[in-house]
Amino acid sequence: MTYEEAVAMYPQDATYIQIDDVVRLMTPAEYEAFIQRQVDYVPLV
Amino acid sequence: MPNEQVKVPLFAASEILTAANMNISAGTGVPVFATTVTRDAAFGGAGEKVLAEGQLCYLSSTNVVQYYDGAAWATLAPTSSGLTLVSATTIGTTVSSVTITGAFSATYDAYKIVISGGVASGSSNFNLVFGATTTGYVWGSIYNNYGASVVGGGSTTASNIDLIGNGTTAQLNFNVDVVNPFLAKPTQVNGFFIDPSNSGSTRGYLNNTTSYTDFKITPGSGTLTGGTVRVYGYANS
Repeated sequence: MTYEEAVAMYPQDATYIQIDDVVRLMTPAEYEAFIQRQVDYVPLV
Repeated sequence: MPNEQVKVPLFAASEILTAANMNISAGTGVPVFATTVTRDAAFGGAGEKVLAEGQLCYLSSTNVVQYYDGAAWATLAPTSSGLTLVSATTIGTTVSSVTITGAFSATYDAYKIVISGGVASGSSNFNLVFGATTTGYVWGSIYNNYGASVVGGGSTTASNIDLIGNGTTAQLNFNVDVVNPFLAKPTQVNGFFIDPSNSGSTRGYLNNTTSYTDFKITPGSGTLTGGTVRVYGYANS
């Protein structure tokens, strides 16, 4: 998945982080790390 | 007046039954004792009832109702369980990770973490971290794709325990035992991944003596929607 594909698939205003019962939008740094994770992801199985 | 008593009286013929007498046992229904020591001392002495089969009591120290079976006391209620629900957290919509805080404590040494329901945005393996620790993990996995040869994988320098669960657009799978997360000892993890194409088991080890209360589940790619993360504690005794 390219960076652009990841951003299109997971918009910043619709992707969240959950801590216990609190769900919030990601900070810019968190979102950047999340998108990069999508780009780098290689299925292990 | 407190319910706890130190004797279970036995009355003789023609003895005067006082209000104080009535307030012992008759006032509480079931005799109430502070501990097993005061319970045992309340029977069989001078002016006390001889302990016999069928006797009930309540112990304040442990909040249990017990019965005497003729040879020993046994707990009637509440019944003890080997597995106790610690927390249940509903997963939100399109979340990239789920952190559960306060999951581990001194109450239990070992835990089971289970996710039921929910879906992932696509096929993805899940990884697990404890607290904010991102070093010191080792893990290994053995798996196959239903009928093919068994293969394995793993890491000795991991930032998490990977392949410890998985998800698809149809389901989430996370069924993990965790031992020692709160104790000042290395933490051991044992889980599975299961989907229509593959199945396997994964063991992991966090090589430090940090005491953890929190954990985080993260899909390697995509997001999670729905389902419930339940944490159970294995009774220590």
